[in-house]
Amino acid sequence: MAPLSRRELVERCLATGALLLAPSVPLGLARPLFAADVAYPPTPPNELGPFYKKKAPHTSTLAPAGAPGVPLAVEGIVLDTRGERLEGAVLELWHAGSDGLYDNEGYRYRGAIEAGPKGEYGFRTVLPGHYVGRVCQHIHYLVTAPGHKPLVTQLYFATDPAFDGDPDHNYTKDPLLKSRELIRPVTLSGDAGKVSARVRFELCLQRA
Amino acid sequence: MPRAPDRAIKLDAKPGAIAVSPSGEEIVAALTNGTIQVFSISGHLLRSFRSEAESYGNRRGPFHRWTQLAFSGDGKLLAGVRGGRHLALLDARDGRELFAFDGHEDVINSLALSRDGSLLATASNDCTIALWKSASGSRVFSFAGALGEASSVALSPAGDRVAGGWSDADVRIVNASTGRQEYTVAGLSMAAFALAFSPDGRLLACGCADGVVSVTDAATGGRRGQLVRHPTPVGFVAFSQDARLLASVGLSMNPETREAEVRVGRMAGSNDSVEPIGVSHWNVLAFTSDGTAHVVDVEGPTLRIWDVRGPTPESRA
Repeated sequence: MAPLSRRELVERCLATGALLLAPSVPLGLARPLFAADVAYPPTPPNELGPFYKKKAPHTSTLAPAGAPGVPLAVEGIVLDTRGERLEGAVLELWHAGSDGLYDNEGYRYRGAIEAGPKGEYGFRTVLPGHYVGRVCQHIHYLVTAPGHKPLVTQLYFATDPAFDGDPDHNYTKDPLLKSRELIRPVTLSGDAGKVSARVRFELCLQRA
Repeated sequence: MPRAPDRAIKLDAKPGAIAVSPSGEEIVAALTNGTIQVFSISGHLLRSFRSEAESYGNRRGPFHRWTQLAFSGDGKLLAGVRGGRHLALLDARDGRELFAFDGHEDVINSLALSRDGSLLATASNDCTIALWKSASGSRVFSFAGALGEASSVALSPAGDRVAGGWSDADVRIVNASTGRQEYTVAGLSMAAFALAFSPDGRLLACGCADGVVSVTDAATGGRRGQLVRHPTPVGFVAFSQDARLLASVGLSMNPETREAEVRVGRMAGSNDSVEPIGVSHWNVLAFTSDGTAHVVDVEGPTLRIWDVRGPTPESRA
């Protein structure tokens, strides 16, 4: 499949709205925490995309109150390739609402947070919707820390219907998703009508 | 209620790329069946030719279809992108391919030819803008942004400046001779999807993802004006040939309403002519010499055209 140009990407930014959870996907937590004496591979980069917006508000709650969609909590650690945890790393985050549309006029589903003393971070929002052309639900990250190269990447979800329960084989359906590592397992909890999701996504930066 | 188009052109196949000439008089469409057709802005077929890329298309499939087109300022040449990142220069009269070359490592999002066609500027997902000598394919320079993909590019009419827009909301003006940055356009919050120099080269307009249209002094980077914000991302901006009017058109992001605005006015915004039009998310824009802005969009295998008058001369004063 030919890669998409910016124009093709933008012209396909059409809402699909539907959000489905694949019941056949195994549930589970993310990979274990890192050992301190191991050299770590940097998190694969992924496109910044056309809808980054400067000056996002400092908040760990990205979705507005009452926003439609499946509540989502994302947690992780920011560290570098030597395993040093990056306190104070700044994470800028943005994604489409459950209707598949970005808020470009305001800052809904956008926020900036700082990693804590042990490099830990977390935020709450709703699972992003799909827009045609990107195939997959995703959350954009721009992570910066003094002395390190900025990391531009995206978080994807193993429960995404686009993977049809098999992200190992189906992640190439999205031509912009070039690394399986960016697809994280999703822990779903709650009753059918009140499902919520939790994801871990560790971030590893390269030294400048 | 958005205004319906003034006329439509039914094509033999869906286009892969379209462009409108700087004079606003001609529209070119590269169809996915390998034909390149040139129409007058009034909707009449002027000429048609088989693209040499068709042989690629038959052999290698859609990867070698045209994905971008741009006219030179004098309307005599066309630059195109095949299969996302392969560049070619064509004679706009007969479609003869003059030169083809590769340069970028990823998809090309935007391209612009100088007035005489001797220089070609490109913006790519490989995060660089580049300036090329069209006749040889030799690269004059390549300029990398700080973080994001390069989304838009424009060449000044004299060919002395290149404006590049990146997805991290940077717009930089680069000296075309030295490849050195002259300045960064200040005050933008989101990526510029559209860039245009005025015909006299003195102004640069930026149409951004948050709907803002910003106008800066091309020599200094100082802000000269800001149009009232569009409700959707801006897809295209163009100056009138006397540089007195600026038009911008939004990208419709809602597939149900298909509604976006076209604005024509001076740069202060108060006297702008604003019209909601049922335009699709793929459109281009140019002025004809009578000061009418023409929006051309693609809806399936059809080109649709809106004619939009700006404010009257009295209200422009």
